[in-house]
Amino acid sequence: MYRYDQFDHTIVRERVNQFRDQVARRLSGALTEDEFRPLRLMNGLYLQLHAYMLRVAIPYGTLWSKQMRMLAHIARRYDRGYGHFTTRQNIQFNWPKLEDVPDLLADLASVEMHAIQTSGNSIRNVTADHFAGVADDELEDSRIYAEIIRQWSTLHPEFSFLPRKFKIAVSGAPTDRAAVRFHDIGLQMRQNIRGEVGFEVLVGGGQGRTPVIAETIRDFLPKRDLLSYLEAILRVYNMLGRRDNIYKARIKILLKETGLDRFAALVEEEWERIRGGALDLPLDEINRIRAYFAPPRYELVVDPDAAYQAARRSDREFDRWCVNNVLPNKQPGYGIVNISLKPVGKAPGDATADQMDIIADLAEAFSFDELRVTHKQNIVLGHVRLADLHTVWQQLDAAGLATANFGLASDIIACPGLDYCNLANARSIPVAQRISERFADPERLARIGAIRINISGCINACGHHHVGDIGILGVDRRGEEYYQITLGGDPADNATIGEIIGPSFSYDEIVDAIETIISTYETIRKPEETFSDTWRRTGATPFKETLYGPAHN
Amino acid sequence: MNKKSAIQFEARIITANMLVSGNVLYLDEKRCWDENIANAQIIKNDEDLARLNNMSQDAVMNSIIVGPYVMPVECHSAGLQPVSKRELIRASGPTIPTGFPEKGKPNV
Amino acid sequence: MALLITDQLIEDYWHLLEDGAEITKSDNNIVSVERWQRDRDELIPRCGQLGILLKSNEPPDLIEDDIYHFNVICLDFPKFTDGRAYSYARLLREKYRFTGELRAVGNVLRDQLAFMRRCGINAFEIPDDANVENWSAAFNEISIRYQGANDNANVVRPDAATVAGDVAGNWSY
Repeated sequence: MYRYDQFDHTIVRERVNQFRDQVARRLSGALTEDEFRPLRLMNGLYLQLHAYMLRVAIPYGTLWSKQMRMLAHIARRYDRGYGHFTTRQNIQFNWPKLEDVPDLLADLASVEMHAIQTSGNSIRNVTADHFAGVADDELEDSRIYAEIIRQWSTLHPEFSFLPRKFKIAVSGAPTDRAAVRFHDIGLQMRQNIRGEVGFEVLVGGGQGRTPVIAETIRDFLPKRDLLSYLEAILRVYNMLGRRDNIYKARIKILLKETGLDRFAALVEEEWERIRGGALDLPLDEINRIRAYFAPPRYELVVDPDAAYQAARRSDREFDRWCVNNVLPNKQPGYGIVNISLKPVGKAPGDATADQMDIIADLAEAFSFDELRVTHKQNIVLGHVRLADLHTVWQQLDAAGLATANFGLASDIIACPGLDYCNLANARSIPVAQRISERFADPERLARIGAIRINISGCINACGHHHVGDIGILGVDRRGEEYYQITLGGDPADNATIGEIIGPSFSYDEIVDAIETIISTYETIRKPEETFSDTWRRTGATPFKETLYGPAHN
Repeated sequence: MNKKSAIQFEARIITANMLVSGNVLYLDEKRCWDENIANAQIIKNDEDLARLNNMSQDAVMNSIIVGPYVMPVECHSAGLQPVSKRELIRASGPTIPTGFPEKGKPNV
Repeated sequence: MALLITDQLIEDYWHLLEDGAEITKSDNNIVSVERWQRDRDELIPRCGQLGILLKSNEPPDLIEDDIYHFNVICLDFPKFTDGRAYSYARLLREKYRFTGELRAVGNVLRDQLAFMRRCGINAFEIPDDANVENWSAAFNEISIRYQGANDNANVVRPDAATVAGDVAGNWSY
């Protein structure tokens, strides 16, 4: 875990004071709303449908117990007792008062947290593989580089008024769990022919109203050139990105207009000028940060724990949870626990203050004090001894946190939608709730197997509908909520943008439509096929037939 | 969502958010900013509109509210109801149970 | 507009020469890029000093061979959200080695001053009624820099070695 030194403490404390002054000037009338809006957005503070909303940064989704307890405290003290974990590994509070936000931020700063650049046209919170450090397939822990980028990008004087927001993701493993192909910049760690580890740099990916899969701008970037190369990309984008139309301001549109080759040439030219200079990243600095992410002091587990095995045999619910929600840690005798924030009938990604406290306690007692938030809006305890799993499960179960649906049909990604969001056209959360109720039977979930259902309440695609096996997009049709379905999306190595399957469905019809699609998949799939496999093999036809009848082909 | 009763007529009111808290507000009959849409002042004519707009702009200048705008409502026997789904949810809170107290309705 | 340089209001002895206005011999004139390109031969041999204004869609490479002619380069921020000139400032300082006055004009807000200075801008046109003390305080609100810009040299912290030592010694899971 990264820990602040005096340097980090100072910058965050000063930032709180700076914002306190900005809020005071706004409340006194010295700043107009037009002047204040970008200032509050640079600190993650939105004005939403019902109230202000504060987005707190959880850099690359990692936090420790004390920080989680502070989030619980904030939910109780400044909000309505709950928070919403987001697809960018952050947390949002839905009801803070503007006048309280400086104190709230000071509380956050006391546990090394902030809301800097969780909004605005700046470099946003850097995301990483949520299994970094515990997955057995990675070249290096991606959080090391995410932290280095976090520091470099924080309060960047040149890149705080970009044409549009800018998102960077880092993956340290060949299996992409960070959706690097759907970010403005994706960094995929690779080994070159000499065996050196560096980055494949991808650029111009994103979702939103124009979904684009990122293209490789550089096959191999040495680690020490990481920051200078990022700066070169950002500088070219800052100067050339469109500023006349916010819908065309992302780097993906610039790339389409210039073409990858010309864009790459501009970046390389600028990079040649600045590489090896002030942004040179020496190995000592990488190692300084690496020390923070050293593996925990695992115990050497010799025998598989007999009591654990016995509990699995005797307790069917526990066994089901182990099968679905626990993955092997690279350390023998330890597991990666996925805590589902998708209980049947609840808002995806929401957790109450009490639940946050319980998760924090469990992390402290059983997982070396460390937690991760995933872009699927769940929480991970990365290093739990198998021998402790039954205890952990019992405590989670008592708190309503033991839903055994990780990666299954009811593990739905959903944005806040029209229940909270100013931009939404339709509600997302109730649709997710109804789908999870329809697929509440664990036997049925198991039969269906892994499937990604992603719901966005508007074209901005915060619910990642473009990359769901089944994507649901809320649209407004003459004042009524309708839902358009896309199929076949994939966020990872076979990055694919889902295809619109046909006319949209009403709020009342949408759950039946989803069930029809899933039943069709169950009927036509071959053994061992995932949804993507089946979709690629059959195409849209069988799904269209069952959804709309044969006439529609 | 409330069940719709028979619409008596359609009208317009002014809404905004409170600067300090972010709460949803409606300009009411007593020229106050009120969290309860039932008390909202209906705009009857262009004179009303101009007068209420001026009052809104004063409240903006005095750092009381943010982003005032005119919104359509339906007047039912049961009271005022927003026309759009967005405003319905904005007036009555999220449609999903949060397990926490719903929005209070004190006067500002 | 008032001109803020190093925390003080300075009398502005420059004036903007409108594109249609007649060129005078002795004034210190700031001209547009268009005017410069058109009347360069007339502008150079005067005794007055010369400055140029780059609009936000006019990158410094438009004048890269001419930079030594200018004592002042003005960077226009037509809206404070248009951040192109931050990059222009850094290019002018670090690529084209411009050492004269780099002046922010247009929609220059108090809360952007520190960012602008860190990119190499050293003069700021601010509203006449701005409180100088209050505006100057904006430069010092954040004392730490996480990244090299135009103002400091390195990503590595001065005390990095001791910090790493602390971590290895005191922090474990």
